[in-house]
Amino acid sequence: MFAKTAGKATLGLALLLLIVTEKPAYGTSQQRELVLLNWSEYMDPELITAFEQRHNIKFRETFYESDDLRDEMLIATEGTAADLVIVNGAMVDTYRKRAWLADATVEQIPNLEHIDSKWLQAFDGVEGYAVPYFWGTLGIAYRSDLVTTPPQSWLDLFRPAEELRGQIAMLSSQRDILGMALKALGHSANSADNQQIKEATEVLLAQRPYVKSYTYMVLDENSSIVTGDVAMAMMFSGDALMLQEYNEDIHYVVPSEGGNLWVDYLVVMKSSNNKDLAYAFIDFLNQPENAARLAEYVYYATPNLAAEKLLSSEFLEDPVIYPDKQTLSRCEAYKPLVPRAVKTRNTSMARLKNLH
Amino acid sequence: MKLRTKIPLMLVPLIVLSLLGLGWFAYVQLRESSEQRMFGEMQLLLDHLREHMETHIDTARGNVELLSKQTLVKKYILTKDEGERYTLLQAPLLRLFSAYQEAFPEYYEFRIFLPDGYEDVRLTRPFIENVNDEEGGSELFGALQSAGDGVYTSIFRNPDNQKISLFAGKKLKLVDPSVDPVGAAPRLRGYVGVTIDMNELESLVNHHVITDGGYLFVTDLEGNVYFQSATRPVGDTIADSIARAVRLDGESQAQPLLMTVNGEPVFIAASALLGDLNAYAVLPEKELREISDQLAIAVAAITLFTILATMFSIMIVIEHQVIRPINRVRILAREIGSGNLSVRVNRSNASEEIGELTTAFEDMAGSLQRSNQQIHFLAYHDALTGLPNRTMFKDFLDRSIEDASRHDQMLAMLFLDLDDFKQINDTMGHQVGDVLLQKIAERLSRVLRKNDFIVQDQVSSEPNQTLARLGGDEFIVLLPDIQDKFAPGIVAERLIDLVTKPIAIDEHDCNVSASIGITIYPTDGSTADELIKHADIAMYHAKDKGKNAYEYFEGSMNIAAQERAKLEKRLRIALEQDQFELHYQPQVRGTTQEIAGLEALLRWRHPEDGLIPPNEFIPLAEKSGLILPIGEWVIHEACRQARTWQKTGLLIDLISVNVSSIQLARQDVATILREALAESQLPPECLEIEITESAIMSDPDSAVSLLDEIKSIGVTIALDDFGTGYSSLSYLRRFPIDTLKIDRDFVREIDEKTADAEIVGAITAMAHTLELRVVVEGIERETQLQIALDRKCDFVQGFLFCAPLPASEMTALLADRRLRFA
Repeated sequence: MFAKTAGKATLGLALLLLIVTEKPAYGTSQQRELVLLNWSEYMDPELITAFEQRHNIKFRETFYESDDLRDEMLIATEGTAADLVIVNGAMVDTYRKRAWLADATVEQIPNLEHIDSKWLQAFDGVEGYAVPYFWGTLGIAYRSDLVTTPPQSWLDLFRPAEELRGQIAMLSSQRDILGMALKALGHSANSADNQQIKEATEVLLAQRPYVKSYTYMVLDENSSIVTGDVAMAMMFSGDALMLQEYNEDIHYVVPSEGGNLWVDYLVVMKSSNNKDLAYAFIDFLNQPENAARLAEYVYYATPNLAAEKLLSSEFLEDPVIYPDKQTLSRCEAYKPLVPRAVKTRNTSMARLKNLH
Repeated sequence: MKLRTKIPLMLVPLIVLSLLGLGWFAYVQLRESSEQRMFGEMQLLLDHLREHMETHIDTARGNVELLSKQTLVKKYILTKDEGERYTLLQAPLLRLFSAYQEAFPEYYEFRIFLPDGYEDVRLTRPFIENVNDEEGGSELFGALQSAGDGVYTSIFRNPDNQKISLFAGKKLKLVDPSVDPVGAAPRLRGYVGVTIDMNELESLVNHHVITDGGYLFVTDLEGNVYFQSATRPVGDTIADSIARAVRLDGESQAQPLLMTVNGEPVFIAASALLGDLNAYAVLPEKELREISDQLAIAVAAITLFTILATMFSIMIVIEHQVIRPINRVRILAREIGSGNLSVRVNRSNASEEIGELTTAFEDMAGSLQRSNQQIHFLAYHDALTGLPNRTMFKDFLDRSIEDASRHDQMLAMLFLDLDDFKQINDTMGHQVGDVLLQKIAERLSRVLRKNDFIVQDQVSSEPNQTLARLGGDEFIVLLPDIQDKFAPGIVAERLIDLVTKPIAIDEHDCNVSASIGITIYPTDGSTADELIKHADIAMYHAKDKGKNAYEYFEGSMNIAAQERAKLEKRLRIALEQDQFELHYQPQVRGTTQEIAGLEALLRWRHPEDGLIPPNEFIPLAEKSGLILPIGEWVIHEACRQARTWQKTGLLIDLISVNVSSIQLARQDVATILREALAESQLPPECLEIEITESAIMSDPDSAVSLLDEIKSIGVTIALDDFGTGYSSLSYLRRFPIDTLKIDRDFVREIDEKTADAEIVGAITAMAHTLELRVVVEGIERETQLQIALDRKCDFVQGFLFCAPLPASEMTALLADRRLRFA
């Protein structure tokens, strides 16, 4: 493994990028620039370099730290913030409806043939518009040396032991927080029931004093779970594995109630002037050897079947990356919700965040 | 009334009245300004509320306007798909609202309404449970719907939390660029609204107090109370009645209005606030009066204090500047009145009138004291010598005797009399005599002082040696507490020596002597009078013994004095009983040896004691004044006898009569002579009077006029005993003298001392040049006669020719016309 540069995506940075991307920056030397809106530490820089060299372009990443902030960025620019966006499956259809997405078919991206087709069926509106990137789970990362008992249930995170007050880190997306709170209470993460949402909100309000931050954690040695400021965090599986490299006491668990099974997709923005390069880039990433390399870099399971064959058994047998069937069966993928439920959830989240 | 009371009584009304006037003026001014201040404060509060409301509403309008322009808001409301709105846009929109809320904490509710009134987005902080998200039927939404395109504001009671809040909302009229053709009219897509708490205004109204009883409240236009004082809630009823009474119609009220609320008169100021609110400030009149009362009390206290302080200062000033100095003057005057003339008082400022008065009083006291001392001195001292006089001496002697008696002591008294002082007076004049007395007194007192014999004029002091002048040439010295009888003798000797030393007067040396009589208490007398009398007697005794000596008093001296008194008595009797007779001695013309005249000489033939010589009774007669009637008798008798002789054919050319200096001084001798001449029918030219030098020298001017008068009668004048006194020839020319009788002292040894003969010769020659006759008396021997005749004396008299003879014998002699040798 090689050293990775830390990417910090904040609101401020996002706003800055917003301005930059409104006027697409072409290099003075006529060098084209390809912009990817992405989570941090979710792309192998060497692959980027290779792509840049192959196409003689400038590749630039813009980072977001939550789905909501990504949405906001795109709303503000009406989808012109980037050429490429990595987006969670549940939002793809909304983007498509917003007419932000360009086609993404095997005609444009030949390597799509390697993709397990089941991932194209996983969410409404994905097929023909989005290319599966990686999939993983949402669970709990914890420091085995800092917690008395390793977490089993989401309730261990949402109603933490007193000793963990102020040492809990949460993500900030509404669907993640409320969804997992609902699961903790035994409900579906996709519940549209006002009462259930209300209960989950209460759980979150009660948990709030124990929470150190509601942000996406940086994935390097400065991460608060590495430093020990945080003992337990809501975290994506691969992120936990990445952090484990800095501290072996970091462990990941999918709670007994099950987590979120998520799939990230690459989409090409309709407003992009570099769609050819964007398709080329997606195709480049889906070359089996590149896809395998990237999977090992980000510690997530690849939907590329050809790449899977190239991966080590060790990687393929890692339960964090490839949970067993039982675990997966408890996990839920996010489904589109009835609008009023979304409103209710938004209001609850606003209430939670307004307590800052 | 005392000055201490009177001056303040005059000043206090002036001060009090002016200060009270000042106090009243200050009170009125202060009350008015405080009223205006209170009204101003009320107005200020209302203005503050109005400004606050304006700012509040303006800010809300601005923010809502801004919010309505936000891209996110526009995008949100233009997104028709509910799911897309909620899923994609709502969270960012909520975040936008949240950001606004961070900046404006009082904006507690942000909402987006759909055109039908559905509350599509709602953010509250703090969280407020939504009662109903279908606002289509609500009053507020109705108002918002029917309002214009601008920002609509309204104060309303939020049904979600029951709080009076400010609502600011705006229609979102937009063109959807993705659907609408270019240039299409904007269409109503929804509404954005913000609900704002009015805590700040509420707190202003709640906690702003004008005074304890004053309060604020805010109502809507119907008079419903929205905000009111926390401590003094106005209540709906009263608020309603006030709102009814004060019609604002959107205006601000100019002056506070006085009205009765709840039976209490109050001042009400009111102001219309933005947002259809009215604000009222209420101040009970009582409060204002209380402020006035407090002011009045304060002003009264200050005035009173000033009055008291001023009065106190005045009292102090009066006390120190007037009363005390006056009191000092009063004390001074009383002291002076009670005789303490040497009193002095302290005074702070002598230049002031009272200080000057004090000085004047003191000066007066000083003058009085000097006058008193002068009077006292005059009463007790001799004017000529300054020595204690008889009065003082008597007082002092009495005290000294008492002292001596008490302490069983002896004291001595020295009675000093100058010898022959009368003669000095007679020959040299009283002025010389006076100077002499002064010099002697000075000498005596000096020597007494030198020997610690202090001159006592302070009767209060311890008795000590005292010198006094009793009168005339009599001095007296008191020696208290003597140890033996010899001590006064020693003092007397020293005093005599002192007096005997020549005294220079007018460049002449005068020689005087003194005789001293000494008495000793208690042996020589027990009273002052006795002691003085006996000392006097002793002194005479000393004189009798030859003068210039002292004598102790002894019993015999007392007897002699008694004898003298007896003699004086006998003299009176003699005068009454014609025991006096005249003997006559002839004056013989030197050239012819014929009898030229007779000198009448007084003789006293006592029935029992026989003939008493003149020297035994003349001095006493002169001293007692008996000489006057006797002398008058002599003149009459001599004239009568001479005329008798002339009638019988006996030729008497001249009869001479001796006239004493006392007679000349005290009798109208000229008249007596005229009467005698008239009575006897004797021609005046036949009468001659004989006077001594001293008789005319004491007062030469009056003597000249007296002698001129006598001369005018026709009587001639002879100067007797010439040569013993001044013997100045110059005055012989001044006086109308006819005859000089040379003193018998020159004659007594004229035949043995050629000097005397020469003197007689010179006198005679000189007298002749002055056409004076010269008589030599006392011729007893032939040799004497011869020299007198040699020296051309005109007349001679003496035993050689004839002894003085009684008238009868003289008659016979005259008839015989012959003298023994004729």
